[in-house]
Amino acid sequence: MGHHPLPLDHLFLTRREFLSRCGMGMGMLGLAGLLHPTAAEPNATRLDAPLAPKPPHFAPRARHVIHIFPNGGASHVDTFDPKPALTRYHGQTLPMENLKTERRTGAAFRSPFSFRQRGQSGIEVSDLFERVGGCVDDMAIIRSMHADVPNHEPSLLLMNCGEARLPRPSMGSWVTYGLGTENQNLPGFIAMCPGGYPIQETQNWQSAFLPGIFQGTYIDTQHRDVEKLVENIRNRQTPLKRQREMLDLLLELNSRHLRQRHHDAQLEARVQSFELAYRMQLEASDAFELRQEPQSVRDLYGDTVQGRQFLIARRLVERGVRFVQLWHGADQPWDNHDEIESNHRRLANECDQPIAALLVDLKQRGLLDETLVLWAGEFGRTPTVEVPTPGLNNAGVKNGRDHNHYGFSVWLAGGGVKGGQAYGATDEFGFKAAENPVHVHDLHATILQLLGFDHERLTFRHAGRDFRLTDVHGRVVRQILA
Amino acid sequence: MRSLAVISCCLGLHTAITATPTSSPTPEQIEFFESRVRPVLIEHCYSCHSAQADRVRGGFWLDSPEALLRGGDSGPALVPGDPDASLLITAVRHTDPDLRMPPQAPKLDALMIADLEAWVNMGAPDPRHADATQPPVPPHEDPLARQHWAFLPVVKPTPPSVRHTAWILSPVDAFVLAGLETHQLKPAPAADRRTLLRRITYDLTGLPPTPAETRQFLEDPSPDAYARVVDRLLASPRYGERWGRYWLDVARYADTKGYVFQEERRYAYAHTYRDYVIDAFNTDKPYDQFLVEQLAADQLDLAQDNRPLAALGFLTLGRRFLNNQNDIIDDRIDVVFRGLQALTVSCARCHDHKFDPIPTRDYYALHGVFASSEEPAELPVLASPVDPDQHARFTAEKEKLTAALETRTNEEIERFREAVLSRRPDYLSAARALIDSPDDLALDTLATERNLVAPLLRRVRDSLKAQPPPPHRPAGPPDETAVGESQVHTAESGEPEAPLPTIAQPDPFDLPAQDVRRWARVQISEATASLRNQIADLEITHPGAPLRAMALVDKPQPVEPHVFIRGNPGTRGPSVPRRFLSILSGPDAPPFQHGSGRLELAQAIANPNNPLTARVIVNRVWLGHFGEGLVRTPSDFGLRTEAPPHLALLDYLAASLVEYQWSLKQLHRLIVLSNTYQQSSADHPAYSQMDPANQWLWRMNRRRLDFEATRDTLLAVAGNLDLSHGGRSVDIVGDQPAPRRTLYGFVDRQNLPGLFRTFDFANPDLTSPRRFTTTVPQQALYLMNHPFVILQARHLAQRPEIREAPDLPARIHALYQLVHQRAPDPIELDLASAFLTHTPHTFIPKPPSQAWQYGHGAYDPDQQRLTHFTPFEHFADGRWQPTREYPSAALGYVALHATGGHPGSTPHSSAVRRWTAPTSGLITVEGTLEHQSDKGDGVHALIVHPSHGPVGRWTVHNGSSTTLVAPLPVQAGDNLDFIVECRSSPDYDSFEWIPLVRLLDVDPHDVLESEWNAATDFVGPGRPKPGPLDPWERYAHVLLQSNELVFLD
Repeated sequence: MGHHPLPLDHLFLTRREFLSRCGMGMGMLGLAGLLHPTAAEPNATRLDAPLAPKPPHFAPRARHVIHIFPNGGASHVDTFDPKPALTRYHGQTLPMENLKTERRTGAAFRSPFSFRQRGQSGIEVSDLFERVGGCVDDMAIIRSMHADVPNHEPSLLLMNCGEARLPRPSMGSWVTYGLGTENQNLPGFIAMCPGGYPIQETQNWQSAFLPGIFQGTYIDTQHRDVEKLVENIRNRQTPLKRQREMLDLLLELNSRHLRQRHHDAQLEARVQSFELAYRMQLEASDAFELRQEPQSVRDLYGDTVQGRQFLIARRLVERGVRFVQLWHGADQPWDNHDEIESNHRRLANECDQPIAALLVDLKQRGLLDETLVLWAGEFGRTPTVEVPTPGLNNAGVKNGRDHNHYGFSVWLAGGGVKGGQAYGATDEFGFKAAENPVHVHDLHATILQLLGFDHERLTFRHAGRDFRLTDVHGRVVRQILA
Repeated sequence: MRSLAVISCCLGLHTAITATPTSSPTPEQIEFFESRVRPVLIEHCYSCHSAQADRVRGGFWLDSPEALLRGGDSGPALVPGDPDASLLITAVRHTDPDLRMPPQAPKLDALMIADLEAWVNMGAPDPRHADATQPPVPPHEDPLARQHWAFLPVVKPTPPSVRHTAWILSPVDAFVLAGLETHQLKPAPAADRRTLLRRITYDLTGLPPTPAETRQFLEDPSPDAYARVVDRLLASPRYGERWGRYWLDVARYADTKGYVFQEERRYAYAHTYRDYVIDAFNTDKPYDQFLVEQLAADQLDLAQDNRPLAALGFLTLGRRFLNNQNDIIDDRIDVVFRGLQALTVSCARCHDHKFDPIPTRDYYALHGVFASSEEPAELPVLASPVDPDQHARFTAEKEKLTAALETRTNEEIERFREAVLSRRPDYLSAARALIDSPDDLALDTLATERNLVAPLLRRVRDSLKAQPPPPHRPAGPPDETAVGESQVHTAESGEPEAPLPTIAQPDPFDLPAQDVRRWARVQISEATASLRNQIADLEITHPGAPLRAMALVDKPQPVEPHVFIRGNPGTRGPSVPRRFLSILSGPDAPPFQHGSGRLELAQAIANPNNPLTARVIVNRVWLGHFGEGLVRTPSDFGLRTEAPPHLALLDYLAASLVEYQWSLKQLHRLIVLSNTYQQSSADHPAYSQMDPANQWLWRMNRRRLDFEATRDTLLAVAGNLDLSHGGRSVDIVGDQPAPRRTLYGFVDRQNLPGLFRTFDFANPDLTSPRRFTTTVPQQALYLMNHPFVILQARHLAQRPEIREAPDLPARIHALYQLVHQRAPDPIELDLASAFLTHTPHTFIPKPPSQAWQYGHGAYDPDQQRLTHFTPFEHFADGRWQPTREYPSAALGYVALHATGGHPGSTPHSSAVRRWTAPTSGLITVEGTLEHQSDKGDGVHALIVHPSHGPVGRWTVHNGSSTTLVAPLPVQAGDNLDFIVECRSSPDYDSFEWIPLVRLLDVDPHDVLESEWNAATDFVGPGRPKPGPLDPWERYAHVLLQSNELVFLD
């Protein structure tokens, strides 16, 4: 234990002195303060500083993750997986049996959007993502993703937590548990969604059996006021100068209390936490204050809800936040069972510029190398047209697509990803992953790999066994690693 | 993912040859194996088929030659010398679509496959004898498992003899002291009396002692003073609230179901379980009875008093998993077995438990018990008093809604019936198309395609079959799969129709109401969702709603369980009887005899001979008193949990609990009256080197208050704590947090509020063995900034004991007594008076609500200023207005609300929102003035500065205008008026305008506010925002954040 024989009359230590002493004490913390220390996991989490940065198993390629979540299910055959065969078969029955999805689908349905080759790599991206397509040389598109069922709820949980039904920690929670975070003045894991929750709500960023501090902090990016963005970040009754005086008194009282108790580490940790909180008030406000950005940068992202939340994401990552999730909007905006052309057009218009801006901006700042950007929703959509179900679709139209978990696309960029490639393929029509299929568990294993983890060794002992994000599955897709 | 062994079994590929491993491999063969074979096996197979695998697939290991030859459940995977006959090779070749390894493509490189084939061809030489790993004996077949300490019967040990007998106050001390003496440690001195009182009061009630209680105890010299305090606390209703909450952690208590689609999310009656638990602790209900009631109260003879039925909430109030029955059952098995037996039985859902002697058939034996139980359609009303008037009102309201529900349902049935009847021709045409098809699949498909009701179509077809066939072939089914505009095929769509055949009697279109109700289930459910939720809401919120138990009953016919292979309900394995765990009752224990077997399950657990039940609960009680259990994994006593250092003490306590007729209060006494418990928590540097985790208990552990105790303490010392007992859960996180004890706070397991998570609340999704104790700045932010905490600081400073104390030292003294139960020392007094008398020279701004005023006035364009400003005197419907009646007879519609308002009928009664500068500096103004009517002639707005005159003017009519003001200097106290006038027409003049005033270049350390938003700052007269804290309030706030408050020595 850290034991500092301080003279009792030395009452008015400076804060700096005091805190550096506290730091020494905490460095010598005994095992009692560790969360599940095991021989296999020497980097166990310290409960007195659960978010302190920790090294992963091996040298990481990425230090931060920005997960863009096109929730509702963006159509892969309209975005990142061109299928000329659909044009040929348009309006006709596919020469294969339609796979069973949530609802009934009918004939082949060509994409109303045009694909064209982009960048040096010449990978085709549709005109929905005109600007994102311009970044294709930084992106590895996985065109052979597959999940387990064609329903939103279980698929959202699978993509986020690696398990479709039971309460399990989300990927962001695992990563924050494994790595801590680099800025103690901000939450380590932030989930942003404008206008409310996606379906399945906060379970998408749950910590489940991990300590609650690893759960994603939800932010409604429809707001612009920092008080609505971070809980308890402002005090309406005491200005900072008064608050500093209060904290100085608190520090003096606590330090006397501490000295009488031989510098117990858990007492010291709590003293530190007030100093951290004080600084957080300034820094957190700062992170969300977009007016500090030059106009050119604000223009790059666009002054829209999406533009602002993507710019906030960059500011957060720049400040050391470990994991940021960007949801398109409340409920399931990309779930276009009807009118897919106009709806997908509208949604892509909302996010094409901000996504491309994020990639360009990160790259210009040298942050893309250490930031893994992931665009991945819960599933894709059928290459066949949805046959309307009374009560569920707009009456009298037949121009949407149903959910499709058999095959869909995600892409990754930055953070150790080999850009300019399309990995895997769906069948001729885009119904099912055919070549080099990648399950969601494999995607998780790959992401953990990029962050420096052996996905089989990032574990947490709970209810008698060691749990992990990939459960008993997962295979690293080495081909997309740089 | 399927495995080699399982699939080979399914396919019947039993390779019935006896292979012998080749004799010792040559060095070349070893080289080949090591370079070409072993890496492939390790990389692609070991993760599922080796001793290191997390979960071995299909019982098949390939990390030793013996294991490879033995294969999985169904026989060898390898025939040395014959690749084509080796399942291993078949699997990696991916030639058999049902037997592909690795199971998820891609298949191995051709080169790797060729290497494996070559290796088998050479006789599968395998040098791995040295590191060969045998598939371990499954724990449930290992006779040694029965010798595990936790499975051995509890035998009451004799307290050991010790040298320092004088220290022995309770038998607990003999065990502890013997351990200390063995390790050359000495117990810590006794804690001082103030510390002891604080410790025991928090431990038993979760609240601090009052100054009076402290004084009484400190001044009581009698030797049994402490024992009497313990008795007083155990008799307090606060005891059940504290210890009941610990139990609610085990019971994964929450007030909501988790994620739902449309249905009501809240449980209406979860709180009846919570209150049952509190009462059980308060009345010292014997623990065995407590358990039996929670598992099977419905099977007990409860005579008149059915209140124990509420206990069944233990099983029923878990997460609902969108009503997936197997997940619900798994949750119940988990809460029962981890909660009551500290066994992770749920691990055996998909495979035999990897570490513990719990085979999958045990899991499904229990699964059968819960699958044979169901929640009754109408939950039983608990015998509890309800105000008769309120009850009458509730009943009337509910009857009204129920009647509306019935009406709505009938309307929907009729609507559906008409819709069906209007498509009679479609049914007939489809029925004709099907007339020769006996195939129900074809019928169902056609029904789906044409959106027809399949059972009715069947009826029509069968009815047609009784007729002679029509003279010509009917039209074939239309192609409805083409893309494009709607092609809904109805009779009206002009489909060529054959003459309709006559219909046999009885007419299949004679539709009985109950049939239509069944067919229209989805439509009815959609149409009535809102009414059903209104009924649910009534039951959840109406004060006259009778309380009900979240009960469970046996199904009329119990379910005969089968093992689900790999946990998949679609793959049934052998049938198993419903019965208790084999490790505890023996492999040949008789099946449960009565109904579901739930009562027998309860009795097997609540049995003095069960080796786990008493050990588990005494360990939980010990954890509650010491902050650490004797066993450090309170919900896992399985084989991987070693015998605790103080096993004898654990057993002594367990045996004593049974002897006490399972009285937990007696158990508390046995523990807290010991010298062990009364030790000081002071550090001993040498000892903490030797035993850093304090497992030998050479001192008391210092503990931090948990979430509930922290929040309750803030309320208690502020004098605000509402100690009313039980009832529906209350909101403790919103704008008006209830000052109730925290355990009565509403727990939403789906979206658990940040406050709960920040303070390490138990995860309400799963039984929780113990709380984490994290330290994070978010906890500090809450204590520093949350209005609830600040309010408690204000109240604390305003308590009469403090306000009425004669002088500064006396007031500080009183504060210390309330907060810390002690007097301040001289240095603390000096610190306090220095803080309190330090007069700040910096400017303290007014609070935001005082920055804005609302009134009416007249702008004089000649003088360029407001000629008068009259504040509005009435507030109604979220709006400030001049008179009680609205519109005002004299002034018209003039008014202001949060986001806009309306000018008066003449320019003499313009709407004026006035902002007063709290400090001098530069300001800017932003905002958008909107007028949204094409009628009238719009409004005119100005912003007027006292010395600069109008700094902006805008006119809008059915449109909007941005209202920007460039940086403008203001002096403290200057009024900036936001004036909106009518133009020539006083009609249609509603406007929206949210001015945002921003103070530039301010030091955030000095001011509270640098932005004033007219909408968010808007308040009525009832709740003015409180002003800044005065020094006493700030001082009280500091004490509420102190370490001394939240740590128990």
